[in-house]
Amino acid sequence: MKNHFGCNIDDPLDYDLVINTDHYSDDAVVQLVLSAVAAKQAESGRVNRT
Amino acid sequence: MNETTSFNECCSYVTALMQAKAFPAEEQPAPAITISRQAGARGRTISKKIQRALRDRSPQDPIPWTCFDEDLVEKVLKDHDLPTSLAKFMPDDSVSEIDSTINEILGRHPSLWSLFEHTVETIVHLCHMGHCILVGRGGNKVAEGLSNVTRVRFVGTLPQRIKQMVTFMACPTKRPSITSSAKTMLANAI
Repeated sequence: MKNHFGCNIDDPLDYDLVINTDHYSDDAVVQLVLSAVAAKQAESGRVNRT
Repeated sequence: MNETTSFNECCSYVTALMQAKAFPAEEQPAPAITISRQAGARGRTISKKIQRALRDRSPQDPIPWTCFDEDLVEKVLKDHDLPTSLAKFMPDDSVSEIDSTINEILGRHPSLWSLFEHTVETIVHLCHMGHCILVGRGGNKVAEGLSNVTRVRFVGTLPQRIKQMVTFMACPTKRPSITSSAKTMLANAI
């Protein structure tokens, strides 16, 4: 990442969602990601319409 | 009311309708996900589960959700008509500059830069198609600015990730050499 993009892989601003998976089950993480995808899709649809 | 004017107005309306049908409003691109993960943060397992959940949600989708993990390299090589034997020169983690330069001079693989460019092209193409989950390969940076892509990162504490790696590699936890090798792997991973 540093070589090709000159960025720090741990910079949270490069992501829409950062999850610490330590205390979540796989299924809980899946639900979080799906909610984020749906929310972003709705938001980008709203922006496109305006 | 002048009949000619009325007729012309009707013609304009019909033409406008036809044009609206011919050029429908631009559809929202299908969603895509990029996943970045720390080693041992269960990125692969969770990616596969996300794919399964999304497929279950919309089984009739013309483009089924697909997870590109190790097979992303195969897709890049296939897209650019490169031999599949190059896959071993394209690991997800950092590559030794010296090794890659020697391999390049010996003609074992094209320059790392061109392989990187091919990878970026394939990732952009997949993101535009949507319904894909891209694991690793800097997908989050490539997809920066694409409104249909949700960029996710999985992290975890070092002890928890070591525990996960030990379980994943099916190693007995009592052997310190194995635990320390998992620790080294995690330290070297991106």
